[in-house]
Order: sequence, then C-alpha cells, then structure tokens
Amino acid sequence: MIDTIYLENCVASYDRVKNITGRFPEAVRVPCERYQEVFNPKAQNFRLQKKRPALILAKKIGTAILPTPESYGIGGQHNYYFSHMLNCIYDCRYCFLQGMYRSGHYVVFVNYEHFFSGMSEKLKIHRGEDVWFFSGYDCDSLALEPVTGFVSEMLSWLKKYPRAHVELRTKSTQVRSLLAAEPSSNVVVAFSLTPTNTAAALEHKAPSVTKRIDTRVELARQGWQIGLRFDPILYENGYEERYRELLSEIFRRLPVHSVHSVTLGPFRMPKSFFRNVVRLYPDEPLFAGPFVNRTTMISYAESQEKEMMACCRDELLQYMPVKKLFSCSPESPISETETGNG
Amino acid sequence: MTNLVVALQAEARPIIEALDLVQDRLAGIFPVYCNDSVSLVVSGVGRPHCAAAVTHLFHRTAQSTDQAWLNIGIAGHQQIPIGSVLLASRITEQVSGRSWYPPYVLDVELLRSPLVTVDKPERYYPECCAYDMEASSFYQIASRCSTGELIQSLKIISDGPGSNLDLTADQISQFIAEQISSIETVLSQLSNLAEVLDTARLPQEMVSNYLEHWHFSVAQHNQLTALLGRLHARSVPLPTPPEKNECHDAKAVLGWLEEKLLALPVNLSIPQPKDRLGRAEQQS
Repeated sequence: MIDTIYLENCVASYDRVKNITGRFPEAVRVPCERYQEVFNPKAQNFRLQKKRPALILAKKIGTAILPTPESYGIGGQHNYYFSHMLNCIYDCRYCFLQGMYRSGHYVVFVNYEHFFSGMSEKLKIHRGEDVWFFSGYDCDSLALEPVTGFVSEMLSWLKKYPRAHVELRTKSTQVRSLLAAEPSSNVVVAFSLTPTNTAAALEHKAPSVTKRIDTRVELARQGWQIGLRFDPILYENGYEERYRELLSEIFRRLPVHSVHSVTLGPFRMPKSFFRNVVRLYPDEPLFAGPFVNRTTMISYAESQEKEMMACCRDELLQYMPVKKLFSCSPESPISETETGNG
Repeated sequence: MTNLVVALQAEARPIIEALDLVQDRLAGIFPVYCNDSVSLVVSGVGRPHCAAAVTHLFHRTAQSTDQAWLNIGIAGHQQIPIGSVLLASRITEQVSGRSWYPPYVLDVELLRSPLVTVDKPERYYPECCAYDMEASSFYQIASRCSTGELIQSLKIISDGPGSNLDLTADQISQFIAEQISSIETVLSQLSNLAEVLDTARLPQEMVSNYLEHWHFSVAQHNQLTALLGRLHARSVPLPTPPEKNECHDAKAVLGWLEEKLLALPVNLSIPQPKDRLGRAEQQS
C-alpha cells in the first residue's frame, strides 16, 4: 500500500513512471527536484517510516555499477553490484539498510537503461571474460517487481549478453516474470534463508521460509539456477539444530543439481550502522546478543563466528560439493586451504 | 507532550476550548496554553515569529526530542474549497525556494497538498498549492526538536481566488472550530506515533537505581545505560542491583552486569505452538 509518491520532475513524463504511478491511483503525488531532498534529511525515523513507506521515483545519475567488496563472489573473477532500488519492502531486523539510511521510503531509479549501459561498459572492460553483476544489495531484487518490471527488462537485455551473469538476491515469492520467461543460464535466483522460527521473529513482512522454499522448487523445476544464501548466520542457543533442520527441509525438496551456489555469511554490520539500529530498536533482543567490536565492524567473536561457519559448512557438505560453497567473510573462508571460492 | 503552534489568538481559541487548555501564566514572551498532554503557543503572524515561538515552546514545555509538533492555521488555496482541511505534503519557502517534505505515516483521510509559505498575503494564488505565512519556519525549527514524521502542518482553507482576505476574528475561529474533530484525530495519531519512540527507550528509573548507590563517570554512565538496555531487551525482569558490599565501585557493577548478560541464553526464535512460553519467560 503506497499513500505517497514523490516524483523527480525530470522523470515525471517517462512512460515507465506513468505505468508505475497508474498502479496507485489513490496515492498523493508530490513533485521534487532530486530524490535526496526527501530521502536524505536528518530529521527522519526509519522505524516510523516503515509503517507507511512512500515510493520515490528518481533518475540514477553517475556510476550505477560498482565493484563488490573483494571477498564477495560466487566463483566469477569480475564482480560488480548495482541497486536499481534503495530500501526493501521487508523489514528484517538484522538488515544493515535500517542503519545505513535515515529514510524507510523506497527509491526506484526508473532510467533502467542507465544500469544496462553501465553493465555493457563493464563487459567491454573485461573483453572475452564472464562478468558477474549482483542485484539486491540495497534492496530485494524481486519484491517490487510487479510494480517496477525491472527484472523483466533486464532478462531481455541479458539475452544479448551471455557473458553477463546476474544474481538476483531475494526473499520474495514474486517470480511471475521469471516463470513467464525462458530460464536463463546467466541468471542465478538466490534466496536468503534463516531457520524457520528465527525468520518468523526477525524477518517482518517477508514470506515464510516454507513459501520461499516452495517458490524455489517451482523455479528449479522450470530450469532456473538457484542460489542459497545463509547470510547472516545468526547465533542463538541450539542454532546448530535449527540450521540442520532448515538444510534438511531444503534438500528434501530441492534437487542438488539445480543449486548453482551456496553462500555463508556471518552477521556483521559497520559500527555506525549498528549504533543507529540499536537507537531505532533498543528493545530488540537480537542487538543485545553476544556481539563484539571487530575493527570497523560489529560481529560475533572470531572464535564463535568460525564455529558457526564451520558448523553450517559441515552440514552443507553432506548435501553438496565444496566447490559450490562460498563465504562472504574473508576472516571465515569455507576452507583454510581452498579460499578461491570465497 | 504534543506541541501545537498557531499564529493567531483567533485560531487558538476553539482549540483551547476543545482541549481544555489553561494559560501558563509564567510562560513569558509568547502566550502558552497547556493541559497534561498538549501545549499550545500563539506565535503571531509570519516566519520569524513562528520560529521564535517554536523555540520558546520547546524550552518552556517540551524539552525533550521526538515529541509531536503540529502547526494549525488558516491558509489560502487556488482550488480547494473554503472550509476544507488539509495536511501539507510539501512545504516550500517562497523567499528561499527551499522545500521540506514532512514524512507522512498517519492513517487519516485528509486532503494533502503542497503548501507555499509567503511573507506577504498571497492574493493571486499562482500555483495549485496552499499559501500560508508560517509553515516553513515551523518545520525548519521543529525538525531540530523532533523527527519529521511527528511534525505536520494542518491548514484550513479560508480564502481563494476572488474571496475576501479581510476575515474577522470570529470568522477565523469558526473555520478552526468546524475542523476540531480532524484536528483531534491528527493529534491522537501523532501522539500514538510519538509513544512508539518513547516506549522504545529505557525507563530512567532503571538507571537511577544504580546512580543512587555508586558514582559513575560519564563514560561509565554510558556503559551502564547500554548494559541495562541490553539486559532490558533480553530479560524480564531486570536483575535487582547488587548489594554495596558485593560491588564496591562502578567498575565492579559494570562487570557484574556484564556477567549477568553473558549468562543469559540467546533465543531469537518465535516458539512453536507446542512450546507456548514467551521469549522472555524462557530466559528468566
């Protein structure tokens, strides 16, 4: 439900904008010059805005495709990320976005071509080589797809660029645009997962883990490559059993051959973001957990992190080969000797 | 506390009556009216007066951040019928061209319109907007006192193209009086929103229990607040403070609290129906 749509004056006449605003005929439309006027002011509260987020339609200016952190990847050599949207319709309590942005509004950059041309440029730089593009860093790749249609347009673009590989990171079950298309060998649909009861407590407004597994099974059946993302891995008493049950449920229903890759990432958040989220949710048990200061990040103690990563890795190795496993943390690689995969 | 800012005594009168506000005789340079939950200041016309009145009210009665602030007054509009009530969706200061966008998280069925704050009464209504003389400075200063979601500007349309600008005090009061129920609805919702932020804070008496018995430096005070906050989030009820002979100084108290925190099991999950104990109950 969108009550308010802020429109940058420069995009107001776009057909794409007319289509998007047409889906919310009752919403109040408020013109603005630049989206930052609405999104960036200090006197805003992410927690309150999450009650009724507005939609901001804007034009992306400048660099749209950025290199990923060094440790980030799923087997490719050249890795970039992009965000056609800022913020997410879900409200996961561990998410860094709530500490990074002051506003809970959704920004959608409607000049999609700018992203596609940015990707083309990267392909030119890495002539003859595969290049990976990660979507869903600052948003959920698919959750607002019925409104934006971004992924549909990207799938058409990708047909012409087989060297471009895309990861769509999502918790959404909005996969109609994927089911309506031919499975693409250069797309990985990567689902973020936490154990069922933990998700119920922390992943507000997101589809249940069961529904996410159902969706994944449906996509795999149609031939889409599936990614599994356990990021962040969260500590609680009995976490071993919770992750064991989750993996058992996933692999009972999902054929291993349809899994392109699995990523493990320990909870980590920049200190300033963590300070902000604790201010927003001082009553949240998650943030009162056993976290420590580690250089620029708040995360679990190194020994605890290694133990959790090892536990999940060992459990996963019962189902799949190590070459499909990747770590998001340079400090906790999947294997001390085989760090090429993470 | 919810803080109301109006320009004219004639605008204030029906609100004072409806909310049973009593004049604060000690208030000083601006007239202030209060009850237990609402304060109202009468600023006078124009941006400088309004900015000063917001500052005055903050120091006089609010004194803490994240309270609700509502600017109420009459305004002109190019198109919206006289007597209608609206909330500002964008506030533009004509003289500087600067705009503010009050984030809207209320659930009220009121019109919303851009609002332009002018320094002289607007007689030509050139844009499809409301026109007033205070909102931009109200928002600019109030947003130093609170978060934008809790700061709104509510206007009742009193004039438009071809209408008379010379309204009597009684006519102005009548415009406001006819929209008292809308005003009360907005006030109630703003107050509920402010409570969300208030209940998220650690009750001060929890910290005082410790400050009364030990001397904490500023850094230790901050650590104490953070530790009690974490314990509060993790366990119900909080542990009774230790005896003086158990912890001789603030450092020992902090260590004692850290131990308590570490000893708590970590349980993030929502229990299954077969296990109905709440998260907090399981931990105690």
